[in-house]
Amino acid sequence: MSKTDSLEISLEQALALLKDAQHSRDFTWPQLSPGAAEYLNTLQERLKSLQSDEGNGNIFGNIPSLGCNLDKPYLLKNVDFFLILFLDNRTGKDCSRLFEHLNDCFQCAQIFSSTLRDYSRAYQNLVKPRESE
Amino acid sequence: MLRFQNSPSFSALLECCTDQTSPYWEAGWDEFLNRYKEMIYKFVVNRCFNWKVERLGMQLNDVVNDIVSEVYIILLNKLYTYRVEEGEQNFRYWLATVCNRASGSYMKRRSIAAFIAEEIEDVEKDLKKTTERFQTYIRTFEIDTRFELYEHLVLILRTSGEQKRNVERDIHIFYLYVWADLPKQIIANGHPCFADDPNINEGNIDNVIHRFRSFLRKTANL
Ligand SMILES: [Zn+2]
Repeated sequence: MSKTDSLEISLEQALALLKDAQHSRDFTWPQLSPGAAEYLNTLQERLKSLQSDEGNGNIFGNIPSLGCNLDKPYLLKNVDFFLILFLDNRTGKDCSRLFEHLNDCFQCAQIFSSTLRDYSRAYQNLVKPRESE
Repeated sequence: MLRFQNSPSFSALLECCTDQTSPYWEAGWDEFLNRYKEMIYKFVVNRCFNWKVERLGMQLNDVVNDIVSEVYIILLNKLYTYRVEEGEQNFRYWLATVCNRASGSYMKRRSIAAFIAEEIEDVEKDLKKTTERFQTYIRTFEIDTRFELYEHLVLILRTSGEQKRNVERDIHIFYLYVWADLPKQIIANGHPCFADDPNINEGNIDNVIHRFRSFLRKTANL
């Protein structure tokens, strides 16, 4: 789905790289271009600000209670939502509202499944080569 | 059976067809089919093209005849709900809606039946085969038709009697595996809502799919 302005890495790849960085505690990306590394830093800063923001819970709370408007699905290019969903490791994430919405909203269900698929593949591509070393 | 001396007006015709005690009831239905049968077939055939009938391994003619029979039953029971004063032109729109709904409802039932019909000894092979076939089938639909089938599937699965909290989670799992074709490993380990949930692993995902499939089989009366 959404790519950076420089069209170098997708949101899903960025999420996978940040997840991997959380595990290794190494938030530097010498293998990436300056533009891509900058994008990851911006996302990392955004995640921190969302986590410190008292309204953080609203990422889930703001999920519409029924299906979305046809031209404006809630999950479309919703970077904040996916940052919190994939990278906020604090416990107590209640996904029940998300499940209900995805079942009510075919558009968001499609966005969600393709994001999850691309994120998981990107993450596996990062981790697998190291495991076989 | 009494016959009409002259061709009845639209309102007289509907009056005969909706009053079973009328001596002209049978003649009314003969005349009704004379006037509208071709139109009914046309509406149903158009709708069947959207649903890619041949993908279900069915003959278009058989499907159309089945649906038209269902339309007749609906008309027998519901024709009285049409307000005669709205006129014959509007009646054609009303009839088109009846045909569209009957076709949609039939095709949704058949789509799900096609997904659950296969029974092979090897459970794992069975699941894989029917899942692949279902995915190939839905990929041929226009987005609106997919939307319709998705809503229908969710609606049925919500009546499966599981606890509300679990049913929403499990419908989501069913969608990811059966419809979106995500591997069980990704659902169990890559999904941020399940990564730390000891209740969701690849075995549990199998259970969810099988449970819902048996439920769909039961509701489809196959
Ligand atoms: Zn939505």
